[in-house]
Amino acid sequence: MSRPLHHVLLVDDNTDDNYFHARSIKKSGRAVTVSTCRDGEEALACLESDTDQAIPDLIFLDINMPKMNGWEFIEAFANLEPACRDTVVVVMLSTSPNPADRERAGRTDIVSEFIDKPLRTETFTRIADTYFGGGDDD
Amino acid sequence: MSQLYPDFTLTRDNCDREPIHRPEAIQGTGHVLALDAADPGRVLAYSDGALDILGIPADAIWTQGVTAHLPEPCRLIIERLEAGETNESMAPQPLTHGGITYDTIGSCRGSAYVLDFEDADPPEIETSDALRFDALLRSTDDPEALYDVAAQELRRQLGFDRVMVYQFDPDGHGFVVGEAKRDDLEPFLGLHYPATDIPQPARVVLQAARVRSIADIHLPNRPLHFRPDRPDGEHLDLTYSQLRATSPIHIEYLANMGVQATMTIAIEVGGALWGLFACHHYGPKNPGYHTRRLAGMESLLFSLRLQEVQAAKVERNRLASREAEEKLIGSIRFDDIHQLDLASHGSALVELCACDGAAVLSADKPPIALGETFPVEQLGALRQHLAELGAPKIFTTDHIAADLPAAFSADTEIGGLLAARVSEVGSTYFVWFRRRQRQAITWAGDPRLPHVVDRIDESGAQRLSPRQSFAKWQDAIEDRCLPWTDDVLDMAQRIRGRVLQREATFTATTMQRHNDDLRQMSYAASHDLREPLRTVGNYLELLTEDLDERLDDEQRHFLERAGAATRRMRGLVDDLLTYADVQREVAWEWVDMAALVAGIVEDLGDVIQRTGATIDVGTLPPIFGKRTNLERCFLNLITNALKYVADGVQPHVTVTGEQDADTITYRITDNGIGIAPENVAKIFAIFGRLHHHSEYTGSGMGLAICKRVVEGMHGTLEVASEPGRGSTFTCRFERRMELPT
Repeated sequence: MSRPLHHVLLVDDNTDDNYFHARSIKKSGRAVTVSTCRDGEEALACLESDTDQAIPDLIFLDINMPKMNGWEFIEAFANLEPACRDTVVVVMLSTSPNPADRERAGRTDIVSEFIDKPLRTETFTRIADTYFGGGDDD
Repeated sequence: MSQLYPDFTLTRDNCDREPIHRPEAIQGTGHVLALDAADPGRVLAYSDGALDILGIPADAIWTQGVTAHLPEPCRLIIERLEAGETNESMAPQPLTHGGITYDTIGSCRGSAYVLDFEDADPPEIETSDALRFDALLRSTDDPEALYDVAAQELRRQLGFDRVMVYQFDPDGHGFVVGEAKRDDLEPFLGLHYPATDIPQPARVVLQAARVRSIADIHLPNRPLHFRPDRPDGEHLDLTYSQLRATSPIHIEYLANMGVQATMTIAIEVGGALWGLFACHHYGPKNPGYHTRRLAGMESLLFSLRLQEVQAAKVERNRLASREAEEKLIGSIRFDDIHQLDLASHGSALVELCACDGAAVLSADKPPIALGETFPVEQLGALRQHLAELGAPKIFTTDHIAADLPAAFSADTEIGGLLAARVSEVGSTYFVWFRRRQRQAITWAGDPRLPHVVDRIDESGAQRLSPRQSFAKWQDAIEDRCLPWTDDVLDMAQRIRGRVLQREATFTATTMQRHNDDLRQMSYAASHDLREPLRTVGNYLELLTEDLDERLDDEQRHFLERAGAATRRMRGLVDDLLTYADVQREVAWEWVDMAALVAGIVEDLGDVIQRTGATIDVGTLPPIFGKRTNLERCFLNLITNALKYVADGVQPHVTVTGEQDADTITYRITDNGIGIAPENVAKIFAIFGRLHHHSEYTGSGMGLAICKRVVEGMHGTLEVASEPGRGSTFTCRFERRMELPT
């Protein structure tokens, strides 16, 4: 069950949120690398590049973003080579007050969870525990 | 005078009761024999000449039956009268005596047969004249032109010096609407005559007899001789007699005008006396019976044509009014504050009815004035006056000076107005104005002096004469306008209805648009507000963490307060969002309220445990409604019930439901602090808070959302509360559907 969590990718156009979330993640001591993309396009480019380091283990995905929003990213993500996506856990991290968004997230296999901003250390730790095993194994 | 009415003396006050139908004399142009209708051999009255013509011996007249003496033409007429015929339905019978041929004309009135004997003059007009008259009337469809055509042609045919078409006003006075005359005579066209010039008895007799001729006012009357045994108070009614003697008042009236002979022909419209043809001659003139009959028939033709022309004119006006109405309605615009405006075709307002001007009065705009109205500053005041009258839907007056004295000004020519309130939300009026109708009426002589006491006769009695002054006299006293007729009132009602309909449509669509805009705006605003708010909250948190050890107690308090404020604001924004969201169209469905409330109670588990609250839920009937909204509503109501309790009190909440044939009711009762009656209205308002945040937290939106939810399902939300004891919130809904089986 336990597997390493090296790389977390934050996909959000709000740099303040990215900063806060990256801090919460680092504070947990569970991830080696936290990188950020400002929209779906950037995140997709990151996944499609061949370098292994580029492929994150965990993606936190916002919904409302310019260029390619969260939903569009998920569609594109589903069409990627399995090698690029099989190991990736996608968590929606949003503020959408629209209940329809939450329902929509529930209908797709790709999204593992839908959580509200802001992401705090405790929440991240729980997610890391859930999908990547207890911190003690790492 | 005493010869005409032995039992009646004219005074200044009884002219309208003069028994002109039963003078005891006849005109000097013929002879009369009156017989008892029940026994036609019995003579009731006669004039001297009649006995000569008939060869009846005077000595036997009261003692013997005269049947045997009556010549054939008279017997024939009596037979026909007995069979129910009238003077109009029978042709006159010729009777020759002493080389003169008389027309014998029979009529029946009361219990008497009256036989008139008149010289059978050759007819002056023929049937072809009547046909020609009719054809001429059909050459125009304008009433004014019709009057002139009729007057001209009648004068041409009959040869009178003057023929007038005289119309009665509803108030009884009359005016000359058409005239044909000898060139040298002064025109009477357009003159008005007081009602007393043709007293009521004269109108009644004329309408019955239809045609009336006075051959020569200077010709002495012939007295009638009555049976010596005539009972007191029995009179001979000469209404239908061609030869009835004329009221001495009328004789003097004509003499004052210099008129020596007249013929008067009634004009009846719709069973009422519309007016008359007045034919005047300045010498003696005696049109024969045939001529008078044909003239009477021509009057019938005129009446028919007049009604046709009037109907056509009404129809033309109606069409024009309808056209103006469409233009007007089409030109109506409303601005953002519901103020009605008239675009391009505002002038159509004056074309809607016969008026001299019109105006649109609005609350926040200068009045629009078209044509002749009050001065603009008075128009503003008029709206105030209407408001003081209780803002009537329709207000009419043809006499502003009397009915709306505050609005009256002698400076304007306006005499009456019709106002229609054409707004339910504001107080906009359409007002039509009419000038004072008789500001420039020209009376033929001073109508205030219909009669003068000008002589004392031999017996010492006062003698009355009609006024002798026929000098034109201008009446400047009258302030009234033409009365507003039913068709105009109908028009005003219809216009009002149509404008109100437009207003309602406008209101509904504007409200919808505003609601949509508002919902969009609050959704977007609250959504976009959340993000910066969260950022502020996040950095405050980071600051608190990073500074941790270095913060003193006061500084830490500042940061905590700032953090609390951002959280509260976030709650507000969320509630605003919910409030806007409640209006969203969501599908109606069957909602299991028992399960819904059970879910809420479960979600509130932490609070219940913390406060030691008890919640009793009774049987809750299901309802057809909007599930998500109901969830919000009941969550808010139950949360409130748990929250607003006095310190140290364990909350106790009961949720119950019931339904009858028409309604479904849910009640949420608590043992909380309650609400003072004066505050009940506040709690349902947006951001309506009764408490400081330090006492009870909350945005103040909760109950506003609840009310919106309930009303969005066409229900009502009410509260009954006793401060210190608790409150009961009652949601009542109509039963809209039966539960599906």
